[in-house]
Amino acid sequence: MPAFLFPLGLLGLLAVALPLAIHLARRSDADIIDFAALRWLRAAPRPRAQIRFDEVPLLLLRLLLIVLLALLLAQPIWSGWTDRRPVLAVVPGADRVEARAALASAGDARAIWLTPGFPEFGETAPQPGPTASLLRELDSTLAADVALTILAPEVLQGVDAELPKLSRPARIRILETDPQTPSPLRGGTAAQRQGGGPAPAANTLTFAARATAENPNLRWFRAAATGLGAGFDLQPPTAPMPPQTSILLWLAPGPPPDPVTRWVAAGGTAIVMEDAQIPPGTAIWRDAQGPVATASALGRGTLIRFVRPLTPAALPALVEPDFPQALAALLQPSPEPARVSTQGWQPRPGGPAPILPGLDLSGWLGLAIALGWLIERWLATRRRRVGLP
Amino acid sequence: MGPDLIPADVRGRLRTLRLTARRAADLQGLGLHHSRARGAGLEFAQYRGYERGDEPRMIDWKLYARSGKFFVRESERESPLRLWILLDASASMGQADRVQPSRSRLDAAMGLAACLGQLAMNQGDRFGLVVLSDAGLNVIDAADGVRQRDRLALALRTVEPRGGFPALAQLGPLWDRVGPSDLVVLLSDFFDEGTVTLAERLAAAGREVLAIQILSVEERDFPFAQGHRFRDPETGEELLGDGKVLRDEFLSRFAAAQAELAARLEHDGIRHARLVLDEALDVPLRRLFGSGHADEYS
Repeated sequence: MPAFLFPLGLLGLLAVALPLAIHLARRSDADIIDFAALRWLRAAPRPRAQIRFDEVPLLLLRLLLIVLLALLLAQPIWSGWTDRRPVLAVVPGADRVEARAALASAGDARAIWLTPGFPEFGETAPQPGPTASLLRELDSTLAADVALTILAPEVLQGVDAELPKLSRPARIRILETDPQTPSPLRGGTAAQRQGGGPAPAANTLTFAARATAENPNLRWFRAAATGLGAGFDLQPPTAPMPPQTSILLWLAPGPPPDPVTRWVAAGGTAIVMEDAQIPPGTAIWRDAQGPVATASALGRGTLIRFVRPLTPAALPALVEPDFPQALAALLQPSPEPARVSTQGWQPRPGGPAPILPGLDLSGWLGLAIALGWLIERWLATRRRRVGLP
Repeated sequence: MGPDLIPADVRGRLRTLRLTARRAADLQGLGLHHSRARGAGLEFAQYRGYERGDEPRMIDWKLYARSGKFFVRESERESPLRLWILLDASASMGQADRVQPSRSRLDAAMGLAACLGQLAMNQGDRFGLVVLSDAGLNVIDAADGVRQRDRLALALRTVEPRGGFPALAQLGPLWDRVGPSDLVVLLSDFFDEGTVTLAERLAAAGREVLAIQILSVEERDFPFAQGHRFRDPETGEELLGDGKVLRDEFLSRFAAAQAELAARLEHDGIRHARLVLDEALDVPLRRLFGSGHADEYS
């Protein structure tokens, strides 16, 4: 079904008056003919003022050109050009044999992977994507009357906090989990296989302190590192910067020196004290008395600053047993939950109606206009029609 | 118009034509009208001075012996026929077809006049020209011979189509010259009532009148398909009209008018013929004088 993205462009149709005016037979300035036998003409009834046009084929061609140009201005699309077959969206991880059987029993349905780009369903399973988001995208790109069936494994990955709202009822079929697809449920760490608790990735943490050994704040971080099982590397402030994977502890007051800011700006994470002079950041850790730590961006890196002195009086959390975990959460936020059991996960109806992108007709229209213009020029410049419009 | 008023092919065909007058046989005259009276006339008229081009045998040598100067004896030709060519030079005669704008109705009329003069000269008749225009009549008195033919051609070349047909009151010089039993050929489009009236009066006064009507192709065929502005060259009146719409009505009305004209002319015994501009000049002449016995057409 054709539609126009800019219907005001159809006002260009008013320009059809131009060729009509040009081709109107100009009787008023018609050539004068001496005609001595006028008296036998004169007695005839005067011709009614009827509108006549010269060179009708050329006029029609020009009118067609104007209409096409107006249509081009209106940016036509062919919106009805969509696939109306039912869609089977296979979530990677679902058993492909079962999915193929479902496709075979679904008649003329087409099957796609529910991954970015919605590739055709095939043998090789692509990497799973953000399933819920992809589902919303798929819903908005399908015509309203296309039935959607989701073939999903028992556990969905890549969902977000909200059940997707779709414009159509989506049926979810739970298939066996594909034994060949690498799944976090099977291939991940033991902790991931348990499926519970924050991932204690602390063993990857390394604290790199650049401070004098007698700095009183060091002990809190040393204790936290011990509690987390993280590395702790104490060097004098003048030592070279640690690798970017480490957490830099810069405990000196005043503005951080250039090497530190450059290191952070290159993508590192540094912890500074309340007496360091850095731009204010946003609070990322609060307790009952207010903000504990703020974070501010510097280049591609982050500066984390404790806004209170590291004393138990000012910061009771220091002596709490979960201080190392809190510190680790500050530095390595645990990922948001993205897995859900398919059993209880059902998209809700009431989503926005799909807005289908139409086939852009401008190219073909432009081609037709160019062709028509060539023919028009050919017709209009023939030798025998000198002096006509 | 070319240097010669008569096209070569027409000139060739003219040899087979002969001016005939219906009443010529009844006239008093020397012999038949058809006889070619050549040489000097029989009845002395006057002496005149020699001019270049005169034949030496025309010189009166006895008079030369007496006076020492060349004189030529001029004699009155005793020919029964005198031809008057009346040429309508009103503005409507200047009309030409768009397909051939170089040949106007007047050009055809001049060609016809030249042909008639040639015919008359060939058979030794006297002929004269009267150019009819409301600006005044231009009269070449009747005479015969090669010089008269050249005078005729010279006068024809100065004719310009303008104005209307002269009123009857202006035609006095015509009545002074055109004698009884003269042959009068009227070349016109006969659209003006005055032309027809003149022909009728001449016929009623005993002159033998031949009418050659000259029509343009456009008047015969009306080949206009577009809208045009038609203008009467004499009155300047204009009519805006569409050719397709006007055509049928015009053709029928024009044909009726022509039929009425033909009826009027025949009622007065005026032989008439028609020349359309795309036809050869001798077509009406052949129609009028074709076999030498004009009676067969009457």
